[in-house]
Amino acid sequence: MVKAPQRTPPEAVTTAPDEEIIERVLAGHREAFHLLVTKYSDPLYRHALGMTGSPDVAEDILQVSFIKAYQHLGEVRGRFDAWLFRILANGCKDWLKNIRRTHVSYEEDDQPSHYATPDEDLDRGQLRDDLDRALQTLPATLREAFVMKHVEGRSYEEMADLLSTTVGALKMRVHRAREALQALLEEKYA
Amino acid sequence: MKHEDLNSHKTPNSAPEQAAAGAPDLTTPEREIPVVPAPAPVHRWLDGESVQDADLAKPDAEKHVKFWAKLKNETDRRHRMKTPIGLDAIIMEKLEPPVAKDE
Repeated sequence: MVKAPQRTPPEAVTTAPDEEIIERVLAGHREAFHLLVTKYSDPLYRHALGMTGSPDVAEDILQVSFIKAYQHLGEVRGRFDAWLFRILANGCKDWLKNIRRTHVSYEEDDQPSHYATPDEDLDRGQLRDDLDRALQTLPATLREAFVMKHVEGRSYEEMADLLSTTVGALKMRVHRAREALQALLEEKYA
Repeated sequence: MKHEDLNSHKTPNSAPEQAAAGAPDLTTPEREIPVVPAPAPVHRWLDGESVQDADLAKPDAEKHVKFWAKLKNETDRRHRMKTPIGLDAIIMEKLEPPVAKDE
């Protein structure tokens, strides 16, 4: 008697180590990749949103990052989550680099900045708007550290692991980011 | 105040260690940003460490605590944000079918 194939309950598979899921994907079970998407999309989306300030851009970067990860899945060495994070973080930085070029050309043409349209002002809360604007003025390293600490809620140890730097350096970045943000916002929110 | 750059790599298979060792990131220039130095207990409190209430109630710390208590509402809201519904399905649809192996 041949037993009918049974599906593994999704919740059981979700707790499977990433390495096992990756093996399944590489063995041809493309649908198993959905487990990785489900597992990591929320923190990565928050990171992209915090870095870019744009939900649409964050969605695009998230999509591209997962697609890149899928295409290069056989090349993963070490921790998948750290590898995936680097793909997304670099996508954010590439976008920022491009938008900065665009922003510079706007300034040369004396056009308004890209994040201050009236519609956006109507849609967002004032604090949300102000924090977004303030974050945009920070160097990427400080913004990244602040977002990872205060938006993503990561520990310094986890951040150091993902960014391949020291806890001390990250504390310094977060502290500088806080002080810069406070300088930019405290007149209104003191 | 000078800020350090973080390296950026486009290669998706770069290990984190490799990613930190490449060309300088050009995302944002080093720039001067005015700062409001906060007392050390305030940073420790914001870092999630245990701090004496008395240290946060001191005059030099009070305004920082008030400010960050307001900001915390917004950062907490962002922390609860989820990926838009349906995005996972869109990602899965965009994946190329696996290359069939030769029989």
